[in-house]
Amino acid sequence: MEGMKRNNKREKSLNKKNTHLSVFILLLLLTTITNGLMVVHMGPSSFIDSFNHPEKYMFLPQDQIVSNLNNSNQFGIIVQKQFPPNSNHQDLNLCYRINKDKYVLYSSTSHFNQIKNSSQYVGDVITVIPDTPLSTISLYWWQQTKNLVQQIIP
Amino acid sequence: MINDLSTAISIISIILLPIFFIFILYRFLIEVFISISLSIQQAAIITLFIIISTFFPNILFPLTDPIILFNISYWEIGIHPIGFIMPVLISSFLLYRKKPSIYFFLALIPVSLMAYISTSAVVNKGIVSPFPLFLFPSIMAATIIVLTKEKVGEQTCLYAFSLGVFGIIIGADIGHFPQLINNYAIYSSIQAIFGGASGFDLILLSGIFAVLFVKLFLYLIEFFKINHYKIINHVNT
Repeated sequence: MEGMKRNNKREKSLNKKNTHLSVFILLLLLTTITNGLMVVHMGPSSFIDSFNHPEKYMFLPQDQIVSNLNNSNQFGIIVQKQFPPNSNHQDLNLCYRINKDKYVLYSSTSHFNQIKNSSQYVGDVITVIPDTPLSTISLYWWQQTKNLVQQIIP
Repeated sequence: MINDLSTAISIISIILLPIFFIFILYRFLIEVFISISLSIQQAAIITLFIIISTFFPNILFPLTDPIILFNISYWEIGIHPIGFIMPVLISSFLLYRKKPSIYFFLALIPVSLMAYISTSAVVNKGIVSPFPLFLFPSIMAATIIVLTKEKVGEQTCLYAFSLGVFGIIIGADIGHFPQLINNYAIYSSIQAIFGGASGFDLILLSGIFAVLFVKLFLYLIEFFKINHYKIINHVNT
């Protein structure tokens, strides 16, 4: 009787360990595949840089990106984050650089294009990552991982 | 070569760090669900579903979209699959199997009152409760269960979880519902979702905290009992 109880306990403990191990392996596979897709999509140095400087990377759905772009890097679009003069840096205008003097100002709310002179604005360069049908899950996992890493390592 | 190695180490760290965090949370939650009489496999599936839908909601949508039930004026009233349906289903199913006594329903009254007192209605946020007030309904539920342990028997954790869940629904959500609907003037459509904060909603968290407090209180009682006997034995010798 005591032997049966011990066997039952041993079986339950083995069952628990197997379940925990399976869950750990599943999570590891999931994150490896999704982050692996992002590494292939962005390149290793950009992928790491996106965690060191998260403000320089932005995920933007395809329908908000102008199709007639002249600048693109290996995975996305280089976009100038511009702040209008006298703004409090809250306004975000997306601008695609045509050459060093001119760029196209694109508003994601009104979807208009306007050619402006570079000297009118100052701002930071950010990299926009568009979504694609295969990588949507990876993009959301990458976004949330970035937020999680920022919270764990401020 | 050194650059490639450091790049590889950085990528591996970025991949592994959230996994360790999620796994620790998973181990913590699964112990809670096992203690309320779910099997290890059921607990694992539920825990993973809660964690992924809370931290990565877009991966499982639209399974995690709220379900709108009816409208009152501009208000759209609904329920959330993770924050409301899941804890209610788990508690109801397990309680139905264990056939709760009348004491469970009587214990709901003080827990619901405590939930009503420790929460408030805010029109753009819903029913809110700051720290440490949001722990009080769970502490009340755990205290009642520990004090009536003889009546409850082996199902202390299950009863604590269910008291936490239903206490918050009755006391906080339903109790403050008329205040939320009637006392604020709104001029455009707005949603009121029971359990709308998904895995972070007080409905689920209250149940989890109630289980933790029950385990803590029972452990402390055993600890002081053992030390009390040791002192008595020492005095007698």
